[in-house]
Amino acid sequence: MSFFVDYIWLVPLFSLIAFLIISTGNMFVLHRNSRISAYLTLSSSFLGLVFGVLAFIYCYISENIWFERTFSWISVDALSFDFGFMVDNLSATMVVMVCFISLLVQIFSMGYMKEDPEYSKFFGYLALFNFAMCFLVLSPNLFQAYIFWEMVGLCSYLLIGFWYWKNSASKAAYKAFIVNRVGDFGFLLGMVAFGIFTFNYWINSDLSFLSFSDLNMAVFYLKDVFGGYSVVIIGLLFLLASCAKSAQFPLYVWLPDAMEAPTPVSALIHAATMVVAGVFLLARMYPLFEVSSLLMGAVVVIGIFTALLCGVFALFERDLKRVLAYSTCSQLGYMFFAIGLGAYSAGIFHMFTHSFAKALLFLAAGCVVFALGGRQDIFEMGGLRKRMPVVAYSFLAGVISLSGLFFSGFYSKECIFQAVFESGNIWLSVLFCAIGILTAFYLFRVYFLVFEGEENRSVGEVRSIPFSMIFSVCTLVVVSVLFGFLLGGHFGIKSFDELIYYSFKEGYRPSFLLVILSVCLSLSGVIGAYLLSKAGKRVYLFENLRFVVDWFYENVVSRVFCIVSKLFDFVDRYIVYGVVYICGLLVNLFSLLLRSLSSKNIGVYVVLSMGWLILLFIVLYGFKELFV
Amino acid sequence: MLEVSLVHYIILSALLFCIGLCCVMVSRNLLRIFMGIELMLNAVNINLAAFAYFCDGMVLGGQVFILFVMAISVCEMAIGLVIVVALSRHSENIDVNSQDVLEDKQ
Amino acid sequence: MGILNFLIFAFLFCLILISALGVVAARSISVSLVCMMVCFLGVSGVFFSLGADFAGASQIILYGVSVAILMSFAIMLVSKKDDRVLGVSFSWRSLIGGICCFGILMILFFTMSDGGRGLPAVLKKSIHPEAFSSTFKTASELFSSYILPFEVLSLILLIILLGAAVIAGKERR
Repeated sequence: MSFFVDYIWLVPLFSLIAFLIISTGNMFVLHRNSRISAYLTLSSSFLGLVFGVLAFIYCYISENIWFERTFSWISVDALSFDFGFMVDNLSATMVVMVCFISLLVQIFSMGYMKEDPEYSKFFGYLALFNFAMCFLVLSPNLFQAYIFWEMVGLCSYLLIGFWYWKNSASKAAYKAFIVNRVGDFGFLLGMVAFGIFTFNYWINSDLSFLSFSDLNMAVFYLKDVFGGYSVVIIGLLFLLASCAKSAQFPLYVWLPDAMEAPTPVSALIHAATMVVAGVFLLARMYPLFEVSSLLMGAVVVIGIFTALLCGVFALFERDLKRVLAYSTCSQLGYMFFAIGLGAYSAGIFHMFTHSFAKALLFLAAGCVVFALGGRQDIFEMGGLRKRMPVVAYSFLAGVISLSGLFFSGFYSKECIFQAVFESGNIWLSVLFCAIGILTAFYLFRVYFLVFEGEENRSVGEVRSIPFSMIFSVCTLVVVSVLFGFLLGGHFGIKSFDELIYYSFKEGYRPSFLLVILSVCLSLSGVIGAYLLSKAGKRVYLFENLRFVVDWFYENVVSRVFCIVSKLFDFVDRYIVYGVVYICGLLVNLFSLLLRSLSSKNIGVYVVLSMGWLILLFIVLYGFKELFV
Repeated sequence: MLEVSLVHYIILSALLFCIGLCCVMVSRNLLRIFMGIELMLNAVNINLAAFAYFCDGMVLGGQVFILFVMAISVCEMAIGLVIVVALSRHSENIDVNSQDVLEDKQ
Repeated sequence: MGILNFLIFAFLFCLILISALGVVAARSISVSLVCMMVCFLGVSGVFFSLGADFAGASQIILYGVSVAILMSFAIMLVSKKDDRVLGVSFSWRSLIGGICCFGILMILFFTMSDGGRGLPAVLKKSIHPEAFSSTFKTASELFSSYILPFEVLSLILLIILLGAAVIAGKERR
């Protein structure tokens, strides 16, 4: 069984091979919308999933595995930048999650993208994304993580702008990429700063540079030598990176616009896998964050603020996918919040349950969108439960899970609840309860508006949904129902926090009171939504609330950046180029001087040739006389 | 003073060299410049012969060298004069101070 | 005997220098040519007095005759009827020339006198060795120690011949 852990690097490699075959084949042989590319990608993902599951089982049964294999890529003196993979509980579980959701999304897209003329390109991009994400999760050091972090951002850009002929889609792709760039900047700076400050630590020990396994020792070294402020600054830089990738305030603006992508892409990237890369980074850099309470406080504040703000936005949103996008931001805020409080396992657990639930919701929404021929406005839908019951019940399951009523989300939310109340902070607890109500409210509002009630006049023709899409959706229902249940610590199976923990097993046994409280909060949200939908009033209030932040970015931030870039332009144009220009000018002057020596007059040459020699003699004689 | 020794010949050579140099630097006529060059070379020859006579003993390296100097100077003279003649065909005069000797008359 | 030497040397000294000055100062180029010839003959006399027979003889033949003829041909070909008399003119060029000459003269004198401290012993030699045939000696040196420069010289002469022929040829239109 350890074979699968040894060879886990095959998991991304399969997808990479699929991508390479598709991309080169597209140029020569494969027809644009050939089915071969789909089968290729599916088989690579399936093989990857098998490997990943078996590796995960191996990790599960053995205690506290940490397997790392690297080869030295660049080696300078005592430093070596290594490339390889690292398998521990967290990365094995994430590989399974990524491959599983990736596989299901690919099955879904077989049906969803059936009529798209660039079918095989889509599958190629999905394979590339799978490769990048798996390797990101398996990275043994910060350096490799950065490479694949960027690659994942690239895949996001490619997939958001997949329908590039749509102006809105290409703009959204730019937006996503640029905002992610800001985060990449933070990552790079943080990585470089960390590497430079802890340089002596890495040189003196024989470790691979910036590896995750030795991160806590390096952090202790950093704190001892440079004090708490360096930890805070570097932590803030990494926090910037996480915020950009996981769409926290103020860098969340790309995620709602990223819904221009095809729905499978939204399910895969912007719900389940790429946006959790930020949380993954936090988890990997947890030793750094743990040391400073200021950083943890920052994480908590950002998390809860985003959760609240995006929850409010989701409440007033009328586009189906955009509601789910804001919901993603909000739930990611939950995860940040949990990790910031010190509940490492709770946060990671919530990440997993959220991934499955959100992927389910997105795929179900995709079914709806497909059936209605591309319309996404929830005010134009209603009573679809009778038309497509399977989709409706799947959506219901996802919503129940996510709002923490039953299924998996219940368990993960309990863990976070316990952590909140244990922290003892009144304000946090109150806000958390408020967000709990809000989450249930907006999720059930969507459910009631779309699937319940009378059928809207404008629904019209409902297309039949292909089997592949239904299959993916149902599988996700099953998994998301069972996942939390299985890993909740019953039936003698290890509970989640025994599987993935940081330094101690946190041992979640929430009190009965807390359980009752959280269920009541969520139910109140449900009832609120039900009443709202029954009332029939459509709340058009604050529809454009979300544009406030966009306005801010457009007018304030970009103005500031314009001024700064003008300054840099000035420096570049006049100072840097000025130096170059002066060099050229000097050369010109010197050549002018030399040119003046030549003339049409032979006499000048005569004098020069003789006089120069004689001058030389005089000088040499003078030297001889004076110094010898 | 009355004994003719090496010094006298060297003084002669030095003075002749300087006069030749003066001739080169000062004159406007290209041909006179050539004459000055010849004077300088002759001064060098005198120097060589004097040292060969007074210092060299039986090995007369200086006198052999005189032959080489003479041969080279004659060669250089020949080519130089050919160039001067070609130059004078090309332009009007051979005044080195005038501006249009080397001018490209297209 | 010594005084005869001295008188001969003084005569040659004056001849050489005065004719050299004539080369510089003459107005007409033909006069300066004649002065140059006289100077060459004087130099030849110096060679003879230094025991360099072959050098003296070849000086007369090469310089006194062939170079002078070469120069005179050049003068005839180059001078034009309306040629101005190109004498010494006082310009910045002559000023620099004068300064340079003076400088080099001073250097030479200072070098000779070892920095003004006095003549070194080697320069005070006035040993007249026995007569010997310098021609024979020169020839044997030329063909034994200096054979390589001799051959190279013949090559140079060939190149000069060809070069002069090429340059002097009429331009082809």
